[in-house]
Amino acid sequence: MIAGRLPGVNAVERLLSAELRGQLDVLDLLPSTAAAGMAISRHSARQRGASLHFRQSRPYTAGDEPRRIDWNLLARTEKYFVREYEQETDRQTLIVVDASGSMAYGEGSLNKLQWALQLAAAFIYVLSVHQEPVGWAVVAGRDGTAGKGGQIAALAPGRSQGVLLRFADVADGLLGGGHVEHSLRDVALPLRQGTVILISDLLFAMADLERWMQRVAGTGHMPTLVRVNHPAERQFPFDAWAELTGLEGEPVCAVEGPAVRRLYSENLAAHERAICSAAVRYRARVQWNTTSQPIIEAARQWAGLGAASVIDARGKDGRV
Amino acid sequence: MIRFQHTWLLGGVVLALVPVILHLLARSRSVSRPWAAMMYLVGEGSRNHRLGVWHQRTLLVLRCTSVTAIALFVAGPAIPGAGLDASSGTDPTDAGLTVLCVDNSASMAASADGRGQPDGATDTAVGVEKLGGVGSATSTRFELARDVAVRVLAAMPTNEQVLILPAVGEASRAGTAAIEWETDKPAVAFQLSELQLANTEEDVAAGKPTLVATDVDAWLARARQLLAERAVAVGGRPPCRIVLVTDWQASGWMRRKALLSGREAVAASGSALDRGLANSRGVRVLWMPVGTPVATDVSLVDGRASLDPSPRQFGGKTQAMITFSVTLQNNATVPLSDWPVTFRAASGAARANTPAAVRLISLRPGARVTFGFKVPLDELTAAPGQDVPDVIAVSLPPDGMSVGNELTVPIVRPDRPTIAIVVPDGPDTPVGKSAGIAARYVAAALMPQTMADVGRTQPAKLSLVDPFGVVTVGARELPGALRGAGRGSAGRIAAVVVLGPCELGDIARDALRRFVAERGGVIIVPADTLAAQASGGQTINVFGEDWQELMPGRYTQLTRVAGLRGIVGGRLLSAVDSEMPCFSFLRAAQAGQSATGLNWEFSAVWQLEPRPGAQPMGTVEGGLPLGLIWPADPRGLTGNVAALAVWPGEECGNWAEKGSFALMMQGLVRMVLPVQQQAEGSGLETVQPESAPPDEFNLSPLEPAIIARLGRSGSGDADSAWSIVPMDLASPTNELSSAVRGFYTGVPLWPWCLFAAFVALAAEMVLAAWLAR
Repeated sequence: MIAGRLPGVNAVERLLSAELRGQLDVLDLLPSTAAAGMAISRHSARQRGASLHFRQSRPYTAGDEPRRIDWNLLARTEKYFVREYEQETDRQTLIVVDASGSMAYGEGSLNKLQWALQLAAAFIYVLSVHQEPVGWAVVAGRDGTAGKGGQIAALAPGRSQGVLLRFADVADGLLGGGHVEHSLRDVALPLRQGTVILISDLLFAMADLERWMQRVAGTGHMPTLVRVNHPAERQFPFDAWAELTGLEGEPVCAVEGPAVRRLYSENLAAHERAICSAAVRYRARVQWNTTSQPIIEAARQWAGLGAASVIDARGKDGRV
Repeated sequence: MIRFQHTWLLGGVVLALVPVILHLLARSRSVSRPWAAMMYLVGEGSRNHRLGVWHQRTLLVLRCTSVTAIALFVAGPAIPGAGLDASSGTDPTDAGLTVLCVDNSASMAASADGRGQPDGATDTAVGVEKLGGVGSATSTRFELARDVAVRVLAAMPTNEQVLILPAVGEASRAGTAAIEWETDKPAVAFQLSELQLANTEEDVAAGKPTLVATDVDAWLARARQLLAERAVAVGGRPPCRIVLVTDWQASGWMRRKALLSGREAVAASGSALDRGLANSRGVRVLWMPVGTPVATDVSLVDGRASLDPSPRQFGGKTQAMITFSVTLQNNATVPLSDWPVTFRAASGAARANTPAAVRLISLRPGARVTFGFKVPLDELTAAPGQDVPDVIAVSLPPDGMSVGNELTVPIVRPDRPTIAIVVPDGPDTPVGKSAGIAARYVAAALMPQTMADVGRTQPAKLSLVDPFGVVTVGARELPGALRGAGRGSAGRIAAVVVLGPCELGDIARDALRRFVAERGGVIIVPADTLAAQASGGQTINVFGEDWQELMPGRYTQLTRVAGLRGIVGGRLLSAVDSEMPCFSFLRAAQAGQSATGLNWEFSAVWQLEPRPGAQPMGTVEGGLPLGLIWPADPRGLTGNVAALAVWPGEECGNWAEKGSFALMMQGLVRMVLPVQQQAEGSGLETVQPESAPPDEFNLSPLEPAIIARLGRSGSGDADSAWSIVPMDLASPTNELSSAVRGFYTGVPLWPWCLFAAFVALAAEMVLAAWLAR
């Protein structure tokens, strides 16, 4: 749909294959409670009535409310369709991709940065398909570069397809590096309330993460954390001595794998518990992923959480 | 120093490097890899990381320890016993030489439990039975020591050569087929089996406590000498050991600190054998104290047994007076009433005797007190009629003491003349016996305290108890006796009674002349009428003035020969008339005139008249002439006392006459030595009960301090040749035996190595499992 019509289509192709795009096309975004005023329930959308615009009719699936059945189409086609409405809201989504040095870990398809960029592209694609205003920002450390834009490459939320194309252009040949704690503070947040999605391995100090979440939540946005880990980072698969070199300038650490694995696991678990605690404190959503997961699976997981600004029109009156 | 049974297996210790090598190899094989989640290893997780590193290092140490312990276990480590010379590589199985020193000093006769003391008479009477009952409630320290000695012998290596050396007496041989010290020492039976059984009287004689205190110097020197001799005889360098089984009651232990270093004794002797011994492996000493654990601060640092010259009657027995000197050490105030003085006499009796005055005395720290107490004379002699011993063992207190409270005290005889009675025909003739009785009686007359008893005391009583050293010698023995080579106390002869001087030969007369010239003695020459007449003289006219002309010619000749200037003679009449001219000097003496003012050129010669109607006795007729020959200047008499003799004859039963005569002679003695007796026994201070300080009591555990001191002296000096293994005899037999075996064979350490390996492995497994969970 996108390829062949806009510049940078090759970059988009490298990020999102046709198969993946096909899968994303049918991805159904559940209404975001956050879009309905930061409520938790998916059925608590407030916007309904005249402001709703018909979007499409789609086949009835189990679970759809009978009152949303398009009786006219049923009469004509003798098939069940439900009517979908969409409402143009002022909710915006900002996708922030961590391009720090630690995100460079992993080879090939398991590279965390590439996987994060693919996932971000998938999010942008889905939101664009659903005509949601979406923007993005790619942040790197001071000693790294986020494309031509330097430490931060960003694009304000919008509904045009150029959002994805521009993102693909930045992601192509992206060189991350450094620490992103300070760069995160410099990311411009949307003016209107919306969702800020941080795709990162979150391998930085919890204080910086909490400070960022506090900033996001304090400006009325809903923070969403998508943590990306390489499978090895969860397994610590070293069975002998290894000299580990940090990707963000940490000193070399010689460890004996079996001896340190337990302590590593404990530290990992403690860190994740701290992330969860912070998420609860700032009403953030957290999604855990590893680079071994397919992108579509992570996208579905995200969609299950509820896209930030995508709301299903559940009826004419908007009542759910 | 640790000894190993299989030294070459110590090479297994290098296996302890295997874990280290593996660790280093693993480290060297490590590759550098990029890693993103460093924050879980450094930074916030750095503490845990460091902890993990320490866990790894602990694991490595445990692995090395376990390997090392196993290697040591295989090598068989052991601490060599104190009886082994660690520096020379003595094999524990080497046959060695051991001198088993069993203390048989006087203090060993005390009861082993430290309470009370065995009755001397009972101890002597049932000695044989008691020796068989080792460990009984009434056992003495010596019995306990002998029990220990038996156990020590049983615990020794079978090929050990042993010699038993009592503290007093000669070494003896203890041997079985396996244990034998082939020595030709004048040993008596002290066999191992008889030690255990102790059924023979010889054992008792060889094993009973003696009268003498422990002479540390002599004891150890003798032990070392025996070891040296045996080491030379055996050849090679056999390990030499001394096992001391003794109580602490010997003054030498504390005062002879140099001995405790071991080398001192060897160096002191200076003999070639001892030097060789010192250059060899030295001597290891096993110290096994027998005694009570409580020590006091009281120490008998000086003792003097001064025998009072006058036998006095106390409790129906003739007793002597012994005086002791006691000095307190350390900061203690000790009431002596709790610790009476004990002496052990020749009869074996233990007598605690503290006079009532002393019982009330408390001694200040550092105070020096002298007190005396009475001792029956018959307890000072081993048997009735025997001479008083030269030394006596004294202890304070008798029991419960530890160190420095036993002393061998020489008996200072009264500074009275030892009278030699010269009987030409010998002492066993009737004349000699009679002369001996007479001489002793006269000697008793020298003591003014006895004079009141003379008339009541049976003379036989005095004859049996002879504290005065009256010896009877023949004419041929006289020169030797005067030179001090004679028997008994003849070496201290101060006066000579010559019976029948006409029978003396030239040699005897020369000896008498030298004796008088050199030592200022007195020669008492009884004369007989018949002999005088036979010599051409006349009967001595007591009342005449020309006495010299009346003297027998041979007496005059003797006077010339001996260089004597005067002769006093007389005749004991039935009724002594003190107004007689011959007694003028006596009257002068009684009047307080100085003896030196007398004109000794005018000496008296009187004749003893027999009682009226008495039958002549043998060749003696008409009385018993007596002559006193004095040196020219009586003031030259130094220390020796003039003496006299009377020869009343066997039939003479008139003791009143004899007493009168003795009274007369007493005056003579007093004239000669007016100050002599007053100087005796001076220099001692008597603390009166009124000046006693408050009763304070201070018992200190002295024994551990001594052991520590001994241990210090023996440690750290490879050549000290003195190592102490103190024993607690209260410990059970098995502990004692194990200690003895440890002294000889050492303490094996391989069980500890095995235990350490087990612990290290277990800890390693636990730590590894904990890290891997």
